[in-house]
Amino acid sequence: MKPIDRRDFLFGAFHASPQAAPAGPVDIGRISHYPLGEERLAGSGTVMVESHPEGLRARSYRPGLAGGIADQYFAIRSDPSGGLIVDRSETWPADRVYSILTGEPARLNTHLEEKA
Amino acid sequence: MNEDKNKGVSRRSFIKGMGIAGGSLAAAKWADATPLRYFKPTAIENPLAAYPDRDWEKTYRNIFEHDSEFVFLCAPNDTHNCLLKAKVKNGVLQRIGPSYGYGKAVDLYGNQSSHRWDPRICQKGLALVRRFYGDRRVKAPMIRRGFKEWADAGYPRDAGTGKPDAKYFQRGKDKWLRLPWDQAYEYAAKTMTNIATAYSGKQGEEYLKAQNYDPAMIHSMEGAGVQTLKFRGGMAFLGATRIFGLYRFANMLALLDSKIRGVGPDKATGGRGWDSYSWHTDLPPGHPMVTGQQTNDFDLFTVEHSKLLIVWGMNWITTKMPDSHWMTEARLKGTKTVAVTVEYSATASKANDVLIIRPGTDPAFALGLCQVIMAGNLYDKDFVENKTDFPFLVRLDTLQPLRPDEFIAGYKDPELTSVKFMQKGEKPLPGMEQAAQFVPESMRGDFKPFVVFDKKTKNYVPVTRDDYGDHAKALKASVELKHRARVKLIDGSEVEVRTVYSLTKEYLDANMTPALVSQITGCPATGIIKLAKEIAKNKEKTIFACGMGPNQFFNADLKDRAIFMVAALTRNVGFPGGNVGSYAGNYRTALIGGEPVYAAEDPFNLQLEAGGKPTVKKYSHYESLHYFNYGDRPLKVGDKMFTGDGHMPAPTKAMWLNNSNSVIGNIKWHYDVVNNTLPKLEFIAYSDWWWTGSCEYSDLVFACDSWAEFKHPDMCGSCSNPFLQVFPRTPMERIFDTRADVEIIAGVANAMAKVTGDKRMSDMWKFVLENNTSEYLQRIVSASATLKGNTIGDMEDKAKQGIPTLMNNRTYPRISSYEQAKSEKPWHTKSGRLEFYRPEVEFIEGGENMVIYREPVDSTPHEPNVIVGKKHAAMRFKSPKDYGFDEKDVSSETRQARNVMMSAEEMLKSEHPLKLKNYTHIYHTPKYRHGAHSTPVDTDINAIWFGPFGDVYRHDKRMPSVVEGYVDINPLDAKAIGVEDGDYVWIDADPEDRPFRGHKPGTEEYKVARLMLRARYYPGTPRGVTRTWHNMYGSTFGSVKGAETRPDGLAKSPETNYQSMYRYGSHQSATRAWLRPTQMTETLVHKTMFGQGIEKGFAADIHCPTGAPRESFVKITKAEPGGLGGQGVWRPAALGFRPTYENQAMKEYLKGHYMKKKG
Repeated sequence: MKPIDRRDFLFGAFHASPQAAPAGPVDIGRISHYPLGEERLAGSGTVMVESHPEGLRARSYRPGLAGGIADQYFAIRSDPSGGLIVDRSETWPADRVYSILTGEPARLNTHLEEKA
Repeated sequence: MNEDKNKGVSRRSFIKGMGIAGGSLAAAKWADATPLRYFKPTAIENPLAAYPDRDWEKTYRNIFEHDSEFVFLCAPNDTHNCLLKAKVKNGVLQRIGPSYGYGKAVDLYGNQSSHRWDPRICQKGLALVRRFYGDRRVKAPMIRRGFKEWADAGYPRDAGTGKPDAKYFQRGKDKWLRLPWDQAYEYAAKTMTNIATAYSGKQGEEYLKAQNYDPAMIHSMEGAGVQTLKFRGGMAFLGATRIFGLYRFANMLALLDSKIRGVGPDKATGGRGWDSYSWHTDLPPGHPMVTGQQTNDFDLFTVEHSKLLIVWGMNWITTKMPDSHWMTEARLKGTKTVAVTVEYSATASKANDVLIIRPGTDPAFALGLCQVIMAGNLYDKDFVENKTDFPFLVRLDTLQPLRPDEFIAGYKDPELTSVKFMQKGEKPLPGMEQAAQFVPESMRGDFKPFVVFDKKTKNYVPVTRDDYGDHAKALKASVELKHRARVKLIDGSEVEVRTVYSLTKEYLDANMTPALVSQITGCPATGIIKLAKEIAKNKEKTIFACGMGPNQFFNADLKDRAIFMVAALTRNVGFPGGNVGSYAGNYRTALIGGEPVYAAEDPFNLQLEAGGKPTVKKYSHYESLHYFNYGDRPLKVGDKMFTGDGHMPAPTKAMWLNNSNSVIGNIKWHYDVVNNTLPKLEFIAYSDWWWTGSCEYSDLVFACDSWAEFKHPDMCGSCSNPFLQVFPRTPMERIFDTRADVEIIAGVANAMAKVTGDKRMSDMWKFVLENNTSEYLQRIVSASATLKGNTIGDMEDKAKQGIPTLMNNRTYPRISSYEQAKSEKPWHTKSGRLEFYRPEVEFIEGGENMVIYREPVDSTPHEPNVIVGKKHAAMRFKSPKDYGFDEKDVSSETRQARNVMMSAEEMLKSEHPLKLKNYTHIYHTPKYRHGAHSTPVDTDINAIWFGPFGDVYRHDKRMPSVVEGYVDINPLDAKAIGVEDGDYVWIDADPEDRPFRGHKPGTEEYKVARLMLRARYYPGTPRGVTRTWHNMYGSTFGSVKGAETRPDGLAKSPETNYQSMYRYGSHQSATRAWLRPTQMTETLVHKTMFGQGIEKGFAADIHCPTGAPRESFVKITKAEPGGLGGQGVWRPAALGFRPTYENQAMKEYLKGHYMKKKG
């Protein structure tokens, strides 16, 4: 039996990693909740939503967990009523965002890359 | 019943069981019953107790149950406006219905409207839910990447020309980035400041010269770079503060000009405002030429007071959706209905008589009616002699009216009482206090008396403007209408004079007899004669309800003048049952006469106290948008400048529009604008809540609240009904990162205050920034004659209950020319009468001093724009030679100013120059029945009904959307060119300039611009005439990229979601800009927009170009077979369900053989 310390226990109980508990879709509200240039905790504290000029990016959120485990980015989709949903069963690469204009996946920092 | 249940039930026994059981099912519980037991005959005493549990119904009831509801105002540019009730469930707007509050509307006197106005909604409103949450909502402020780079680089310009590098302006192909609101405001403010500075003064003039702008345009700016900044609120009457806000912003820019050029308020100028009503070709341009009024009209429900309704170029049943019932109810009450139309329309199906004419021949048709009425002496003597200029004498040497002081020695023009001459510096009274008509003293010469001939006394009698209507009877003159004679002038010379009536009659008898008009229009002569006689019989009881269809032709003003002539001859102007009205666009801003206290508040002298009285001072200038889409240039042909100084546009370097897709996305000659005009612009901003074709080519797009999310109230009215409607604030949370239109304008002004250090720019929007926009609305209400006494708070509260406010008008229904018909006031013309002779130099030189007929400028199989007529003493127009170009030059550019006369017979034998190149069809693009411009037409659940090609599954992946654009073509014409029903075809208009000047086949630009669409067999359109509805979203670089690269084949931009309804091109591939000389005069006298003032020359939305967006002559070529995936014939045709493909069953159906009459 694998030993578990208090810290891991609490993390597992309250902030399970996506791999450990790939929960279903998480309602993260609407675009209007995410001003550009800010990041906000959403989905009952399970994801951090970053707002970039190219669109939104949902990052796994693990408070108190320092280093060692890479951030994961999840798919964002919109529902027919303008709501946003993070699908933690699908991970996106770090350079992918949810496009505000199209509601489709788009590339982050494309203009910088193209110029480079 | 003895079958074993395990054996199942045979079809036969089941049916037998059903027959026995009938509709009475067993009382047994579902759970323990076998199927066969249900069929036992059962006697049921109490069905409610015995029937099976119906709890399952709750599922459906729950679906439609709502948690809360609120009211919002739906107000696209469709002349109606409806307060609608939104039902909300779980925070989501679920469905929409009518408010049923219209019958509760009252005015200040307690007059209450009828519940016949309810229910009030159309399919556009019903489908709005899918738009509020639609995937093309502008969800946040967005900036185009290249533009941002230009701004971030500090707006670098070429030292010689002032032009920015083209690399920053790859509009339509660039990436988009989201901005925070504050930054969006700042980019707009900084950019406009930079552009205004760059083009001010000597340096600005040099730049503009280097950019090859016409010197007259540069001169018109007076050195003020702010005049290169253009603003337009799309049909401003739709938003007293949020849409008019852009015009207030333009006025505010006088502060910017003051700072840039260091001038005081006396020399400062604002930005430029673009027109709306005339831009959309909604203005009937001949109305001010006859009545002085912008438009003569009436509330549509007037129609039931008439005995004869002529619906002319108006598809009332389909375009007046919530108001269509007034027409059908009038007919039920006994009003005879006649449709004058170019096809067998839905309205035609509701008419007693239908007269179908060739598109663009409306003036000839109306003149044919006049000829019958005049020739048969069927006219109303009293109305003609006293309320028109028909009896006035015209000198044939000068073609000017004969004036008393020219032949009566010592005659002095009497001082007029019907109009006040304002001395220089004298200010008019505030709008509501203007009881009398007034003009500047400088216009006194325009109001000289006229002369009639008294056949009893054989004397010439002076008639002043005060002798209007019944007042003329005091002259006791027995007017000779057909008088012609020679008159000896004071200087001893003799001149020939004739009455306007006599001159007109000669023209009509020679050129517009029913036989000739029949050949020109295609309408049987008997139909013309019959209708003319019926109109003459129904004095004060014939309504002419005209639509925008004929407005969209180059000869639109002649059409208006001719229709008014029919009405005036038969005493049908200004009466409850007899009048002329025009219904296109939501224009009638004059109904909110207090609007200038907001739109033109003096920015140097702001009223910052709530409840205070603002000072009005107009610093902004207006101009027609038609010059912009003409390539940002005036009309100069040969060596003649036809655009009058007062009309002259300034070069356009920046534009900001709200609530409008008609200035880029659905602009006439769209692809010319995209490829030749937009590259000259340095800043394009759009405020919208739907990502349109205009957004595709913008630099900065502001995301606006939808009507359901309003957080600032606003108000609007309509030209077709008597209601003032408030946009109430709603409890609905903003779905996306949006702001109110007026909040955005205030935000940019606030940012400009920071950029310039001038706090007044921020103060200009004080009450918006304090979230108290109601203060501005109340100021407008208190300054409007129709509204004063109301409070905006009460009006908004009522609107929240779905109840509009009934305006205080002179009559209910509102009737234009009512006071003139009753001889209480003169018309706002020089004579005070309806005028059918235009003696101004521009009209004489254009051959249109009399009301004559010209062929359409492009939509004709004959030589375009020729004057139809025979030699006439009063027709002495300038020839092409006079203007310095060859008479044989019929190119589109010269054609606009080409005056060549042909008899009707000669004209009918002539041919359109493109006919030699296999161009065969008139192609016209009227507005779609269930669309207000492009507003709702791409909402999928509406769109699929747009013609026969709607397919929500898109079985054929070539479809650009769930629906697609098509051309209606007569089946016989289609077969003649090898086109099957449903095939894709190419449509090419004049290659000289369409789809755009300088196009090159094989380029990306040409591919995007060349029109390909489906052909629909449509027997309702005459041979030689094809049609595509105007409203569909056209192809852009992004949509074509989508169609060619997306796996699903949708013509949807991968970058923006913009969705085209064509794979390539659009209906605007075939249109172009046209400028008409007689719409650009410096001399036409007309009423001002607000109040009782009279002015002359240019006035936005009153006297300025209206274009001719329905005119083109095209070649149609088969592109692809219509069958699935490009194989064979389109399925509905192949199955035999389409015209000319009918299978036997269809033939039987069409013959009515599936119905049998009993007995």
